[in-house]
Amino acid sequence: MKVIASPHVVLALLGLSLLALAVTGLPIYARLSYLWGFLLVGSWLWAALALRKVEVRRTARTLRAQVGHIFQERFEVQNSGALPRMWLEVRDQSALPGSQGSRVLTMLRGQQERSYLARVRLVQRGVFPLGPTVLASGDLFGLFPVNRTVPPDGSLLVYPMMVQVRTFPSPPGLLPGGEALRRRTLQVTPNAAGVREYVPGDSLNRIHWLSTARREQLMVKEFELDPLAKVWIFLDAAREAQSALPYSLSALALDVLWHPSTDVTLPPSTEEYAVSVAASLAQYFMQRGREVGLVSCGRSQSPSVLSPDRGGRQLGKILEALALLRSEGDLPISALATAQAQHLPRGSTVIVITPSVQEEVALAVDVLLRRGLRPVVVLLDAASFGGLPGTADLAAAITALNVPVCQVTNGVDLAMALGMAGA
Amino acid sequence: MRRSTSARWWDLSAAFLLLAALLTAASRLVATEWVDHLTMIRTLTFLGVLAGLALGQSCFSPFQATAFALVYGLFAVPWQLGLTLGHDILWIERLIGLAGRMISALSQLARQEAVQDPLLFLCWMSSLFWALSVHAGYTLTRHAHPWRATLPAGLALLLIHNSDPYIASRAWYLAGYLFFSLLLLARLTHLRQLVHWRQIRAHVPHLIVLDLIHVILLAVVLIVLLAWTIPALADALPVAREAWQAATRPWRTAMRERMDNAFASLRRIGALVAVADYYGENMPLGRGSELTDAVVLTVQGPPHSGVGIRYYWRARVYDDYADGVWSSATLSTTQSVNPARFGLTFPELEGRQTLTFTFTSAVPIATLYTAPQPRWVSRPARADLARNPDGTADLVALHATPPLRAGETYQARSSLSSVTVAQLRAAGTDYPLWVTSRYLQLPPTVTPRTRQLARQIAAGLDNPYDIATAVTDYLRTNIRYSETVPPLSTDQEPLDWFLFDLGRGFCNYYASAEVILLRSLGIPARVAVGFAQGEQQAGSNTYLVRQHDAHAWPEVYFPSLGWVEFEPTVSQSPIYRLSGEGESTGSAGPDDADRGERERLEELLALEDESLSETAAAGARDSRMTTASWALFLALGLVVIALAWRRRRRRGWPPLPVLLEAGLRRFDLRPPAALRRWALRAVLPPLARAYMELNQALARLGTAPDPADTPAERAVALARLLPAAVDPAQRLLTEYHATAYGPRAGNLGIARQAGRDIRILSWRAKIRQLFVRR
Repeated sequence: MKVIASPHVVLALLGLSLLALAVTGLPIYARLSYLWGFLLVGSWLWAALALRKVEVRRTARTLRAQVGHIFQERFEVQNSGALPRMWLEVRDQSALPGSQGSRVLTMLRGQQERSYLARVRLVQRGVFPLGPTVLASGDLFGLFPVNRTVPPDGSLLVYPMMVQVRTFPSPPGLLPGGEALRRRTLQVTPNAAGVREYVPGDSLNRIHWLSTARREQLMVKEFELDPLAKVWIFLDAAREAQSALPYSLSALALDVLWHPSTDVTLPPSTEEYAVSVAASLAQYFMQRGREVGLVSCGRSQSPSVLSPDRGGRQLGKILEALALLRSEGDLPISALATAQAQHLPRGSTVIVITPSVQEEVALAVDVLLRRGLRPVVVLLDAASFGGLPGTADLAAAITALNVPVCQVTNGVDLAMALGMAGA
Repeated sequence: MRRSTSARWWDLSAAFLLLAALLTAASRLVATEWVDHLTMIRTLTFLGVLAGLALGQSCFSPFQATAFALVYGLFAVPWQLGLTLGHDILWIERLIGLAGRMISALSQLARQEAVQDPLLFLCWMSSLFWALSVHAGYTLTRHAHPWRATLPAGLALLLIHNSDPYIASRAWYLAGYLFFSLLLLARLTHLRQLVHWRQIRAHVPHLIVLDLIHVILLAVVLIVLLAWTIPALADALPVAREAWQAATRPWRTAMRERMDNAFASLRRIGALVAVADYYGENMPLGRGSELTDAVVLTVQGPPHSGVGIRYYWRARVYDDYADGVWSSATLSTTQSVNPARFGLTFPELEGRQTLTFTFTSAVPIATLYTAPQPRWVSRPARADLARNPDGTADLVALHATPPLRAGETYQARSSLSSVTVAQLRAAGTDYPLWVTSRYLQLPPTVTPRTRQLARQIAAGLDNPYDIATAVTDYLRTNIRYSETVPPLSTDQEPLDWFLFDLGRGFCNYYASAEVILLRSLGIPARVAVGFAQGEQQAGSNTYLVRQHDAHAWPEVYFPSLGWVEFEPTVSQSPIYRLSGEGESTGSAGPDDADRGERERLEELLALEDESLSETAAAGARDSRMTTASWALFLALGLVVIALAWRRRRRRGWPPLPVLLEAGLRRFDLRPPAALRRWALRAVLPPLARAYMELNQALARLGTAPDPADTPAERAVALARLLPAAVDPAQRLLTEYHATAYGPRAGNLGIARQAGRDIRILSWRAKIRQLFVRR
């Protein structure tokens, strides 16, 4: 805000009044000098005391949330001094889009505490510091604005948006199936390997009651690893491949807190769509008991590899990695897939998500096939995001390799688009 | 509040506040009553503010808005001026008449003649207030800038007040203006904050205005009331007041003289309308104030030696005293007089001389000053008087009709008392009835100890003159002169307080005390006010009367001799009268007095004048002492600052510019560039500061160094530009290299000296560049 009531003006008026008083000796100038003096000193004192002994605290119930959900934060402003504060501005300078934490409080009496809840719909993935928070105030005439910055005390991690995918193509004849690996695991798999005596620390849901009854002592089940193939998600995070249309967060998305989270739309960016597709497919396969891993190369030449695993914790890891992913890498998806293919066990399902229209993608898919992997490709239609055309040709080339291809265009319902893959 | 897409500001309450402020300013002009029809200024101001608000809100560019304001003004001002003419005149005739009068007035002005037609003034004021109000309204809705909207009109109001300062209560117009302006400032600040809060999507309570409005109102009322009443409070601290006045008097006087000289040419124009009436129908004893050296009158009269006759320039007399206020209660008849046929007769008196004086007023005046007792004036006037039973007039005051403008001259003939002591002693107590009925009034509040004091002074004296002289001497001896007095407690009679408790005061108190003491002894007396004789110009009979010559003195009535002046105020020379011994009472004039006695009295008077001059010199010494004490305070202040500075260095506090810069930033103010540079320089190590001289010298000579240049390259560049600086640059470079890149620390003293040399040489070269054409 432009400061309009600068103290320099009042100082100048005071100086002129004093000069006129000295020159003329007229009492009117003495009165004017008093007036400007009182205004200046009074305003300065007011401003100097405005933020003294005023504290602000902000607390959040959770520091993890997902795009589309409502994040709620509690602000507590306490005036420990004896003097009342006429007005206080609590300015939430968090980078969280649509942050609603800024408030103006009036008539905060001495020894009084006020609190309020700030709710915001999360519309952007990433990590957002909850602050800084600026306490601002000043005098009544705007001569001496004062403020104090309270540094952030924590961060909010916003997971990408996920959609409920009902069906997604799996390469035929390979899933499910295969031999058991005969490796014991702590995870609960469909393959029970045997029973053993209970030892403290074993989960109660692993107790095998029939054997327990039979032997009259607690017996627990042991499992072996799933024979099902692993799922690798290859996410294209190369800078060159991305495209996006101009976008601003809609006021609707920020303000209307009672709309269901599905009303939140993704930004028209291949990066955001790719991340959401990856998160949704990870959830899809996790729900089906599959081990899911993630490979991407976002910020450096060295790819980030998250080994396949199953369970809620693995989903959390994947979502966290996706929340922080930025498509600033230099490694094309074709190179990434080719390089990583040799490390993947044969028969694994590889889901390649890319907005690239380069022919090399088809070649990389061919390499994956030759390595005995089962690729599925999700192609983001770059042209619909303002990028280069050619997605359809690439899809045709990949389909010709008998590999399922799913095309996602800007604005499409992701759940439906993913379900129609290969149709 | 609504802010349209084109960034306009509109707020109803702000508009009302601005309108109220501007109307207050216009009302101040109306209150002066300088000319008729001033009320039209209020109408024009009202319309101007509305037009300004509309133009500011419109989509016109500033140039277009100015053009429209001009066009509207060209309609509104003549329209309002035309309304001042008769309603039965056709508008076309009104406009032609206005144009003709304006041309005539402007011609007079161009010929440096006094403009008699008030139309010119009315037109100027109308145009001024139209411009001020349109500008204020436009600035409000276009920029929401409170200072730009209110300061011009405030300045105009202040100038008007300076031209019309005589009625103190009118200062409240300015207070009202400031009240509305400060409210407007607070309101616009709040509006800007609302916009800012909206931009940052901060939730604002709906009732924030209600929460803040009473605090703002309270704060503004408090500030204005305190500012308007504190001067009275400050007067209660005479020590502080006198110290301040003594410290600032020489500077004020010097500055005032300079300003008077600078604006001397404007005096006539400014004096067209202002009328200075120092005395009204009532005169409170007052608290006193420091009067200026401004010239009020120049009086030319016949020569006199100062013995037997004292010149006073009387404005009026008062007969009735109550609760510290003199008034002309029984002297309430008025009569118009003109020079050709004065129409007033006066009692025949002895021992008086009729003299004629020529008065030239330096300021516009309505009251005609005359030597006592006036008999005739050369101007048409309104006389305040009382009729005596014998048909003669007891004259109180004369008011010129019309008032005199600055620089105008008039003559007044007066009957001055030149009686001898013998005549006064022999006058007796056979007072006319009209004298005793009017001039023996005493309020019941006069205390017994005042009456007792009068009796004590008069003890053993058998005639009114000796008693009056004794009272005069008592006051001159026992009461100290003071320009001001402290506030009086409400439960005490003012003169009782003056005589028995305070023991000091100024002429109003001296004169009043003498009159009351004499009246309590049955001697008719009254208070006269006006100016003392003033400063006699060397080699002439011209007296320069200044504002600080304002004076009050008692007049005592003596049967068949009339009113005779006495001088109890110790700051004035006493009045010496010839003894008149050996003359027959009532038949001899001063010319027949003994020459030896006259010379003796003149010497005595000269000694008295010398004594008064010494008193004034003592005052000057006091002033010098005060200056010395101020100097002592200043020195002490410097010592404290030096100690603080030393302590700062010991404790390692940041340098002053850094503190100043941090202080400004703390309040979200951007420090000036010079301060930022100063702060940056202040935190540099001493050697780096010396090295900076090299860079600054290059910049000064127009070749700012490239950031990539090494110190050696900079030194070479300087040597190329300024061969004389080769040696200091080399010295500086050596020390800098030693410190920056070598194992030993460079010699700081050499580096500093080299830096100083470079600075001096580069400045010389720079000045040479300015004055020497290449």
